[in-house]
Amino acid sequence: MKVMSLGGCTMKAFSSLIKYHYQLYVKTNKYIMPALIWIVFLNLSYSQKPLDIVSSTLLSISVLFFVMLWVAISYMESVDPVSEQILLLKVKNRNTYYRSKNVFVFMLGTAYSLIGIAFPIMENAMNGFSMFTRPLTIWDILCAFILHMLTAILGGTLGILFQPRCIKNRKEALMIVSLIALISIAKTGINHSFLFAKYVTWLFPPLSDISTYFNENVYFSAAAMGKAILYCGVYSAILLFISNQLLKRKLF
Amino acid sequence: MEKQIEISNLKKSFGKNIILQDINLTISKGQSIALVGHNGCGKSTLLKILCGLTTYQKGTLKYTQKLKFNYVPENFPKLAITAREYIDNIGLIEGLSKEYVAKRSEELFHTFFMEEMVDNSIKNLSKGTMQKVSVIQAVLSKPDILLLDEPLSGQDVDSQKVFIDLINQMNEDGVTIVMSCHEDLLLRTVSKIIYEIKGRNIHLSDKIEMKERNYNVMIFRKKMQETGEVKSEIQIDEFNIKRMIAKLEKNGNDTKLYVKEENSDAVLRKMLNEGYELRGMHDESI
Repeated sequence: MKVMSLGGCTMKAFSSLIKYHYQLYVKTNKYIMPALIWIVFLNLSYSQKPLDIVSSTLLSISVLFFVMLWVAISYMESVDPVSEQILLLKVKNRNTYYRSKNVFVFMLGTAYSLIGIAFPIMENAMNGFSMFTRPLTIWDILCAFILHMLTAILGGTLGILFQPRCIKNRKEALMIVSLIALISIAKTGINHSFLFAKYVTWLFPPLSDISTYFNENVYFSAAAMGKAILYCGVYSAILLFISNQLLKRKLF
Repeated sequence: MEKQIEISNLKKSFGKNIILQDINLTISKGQSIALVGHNGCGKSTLLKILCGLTTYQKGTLKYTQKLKFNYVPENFPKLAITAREYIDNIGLIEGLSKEYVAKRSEELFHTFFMEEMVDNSIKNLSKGTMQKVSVIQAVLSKPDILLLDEPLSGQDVDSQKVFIDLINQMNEDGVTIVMSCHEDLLLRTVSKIIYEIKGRNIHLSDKIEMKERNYNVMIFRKKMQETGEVKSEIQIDEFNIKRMIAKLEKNGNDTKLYVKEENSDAVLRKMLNEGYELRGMHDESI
């Protein structure tokens, strides 16, 4: 039987890596606080009605960005460097190992996104479909899920870049990443206040830009969705590329 | 002998602190090499350089073929999963079949006397048992080169013997062994070549000479009861122990005696009987 190959590593070995990351992660307490914060936020956010679908989604994805940043950083900090050294020698291709960790973070992002989507759908159903100012459509659900995934990946990749292997000084890393996250969410405001700020702020994650694309829209437009997917996709890919290069150069 | 790794003029530093300099080393298939030297001299760093786990600043490291390394680290991490879960995962990640991993891990758990501990979290195991898990993950499959960093630390005597037999068997099967160690037992029973890292460089050591260079160092002082005056001169001639002392060093009121291991009991007994106080004792190479 031919086994699927993934960069010199079989699919079986890759799924074993994911299983290994999962087993270690669930035995730590690192997931409790971000998960709790996310659930509490969703509860509070959807405790009032009627809500605008687009703006409630934009608020939700902004919070998810911060939650996923926290999830990724705390997960990466929980990885033991010695156990990582053993694994890097066990896998046939080191990129496979790094990829497996990234995929695991994105899987956590998917789980958080699904919760972020399922929660309002259930609330809407329990409230006699009167949760929102207009009826919820499949397109709304699809767009909301994609936007949640995009910001989850964005927060996740930023967290991956600031892992201890890339930046050893943790105090410095956490201060810088917090500043980046704050600028990301406030960059539209900063650009309005300071004339030349846009020449610098474009470098920061496009969280605020997504909100701008859908600003005061009642419906999710396909064009805005396309722009959000493209910007976030390219940005996340660049962050992943940088972190991969740093991991290859810095080693242990 | 088929060459596997060639290192020339390699330099490794951490910031401004140079650890290794002008390292030249060739490793060939089937060799069993021990790296010795004081703590912090760069043994573990050199092991990591060999398998590409750390960078170096100057020089070249050439693999003559694609090599598979297995590695026993000095300090195995305190993981929250059980020893069985860890070994099963590692085997599958390595690309071994589920059936093979199950069979081989059972054998190894049995051989290392740890069947009753396999379902305990690794973090709850003793240091020696953790080191056994570390060894088991490294011998689950046959590597080209097996890197061992203080592999015996904390292991019980029976497990040490099992480990030595296993490593020697792997070496006979063509696995190259490179280890960092301090134990005389490993130097005598496993290594065929010994390199000493000293003064940032690596030197080939004679195995017999190496063994003979280990001394017990005893520091003595005698206080005169009547006057409170410290007697600084130790009369080794009077005590008939001169022939047992390889070297004598004076340091203020203390006298350091370098004694071969087989003579240390006799010297210690004699000195204590003569009223000298033993102020310290350790192993040292001269």
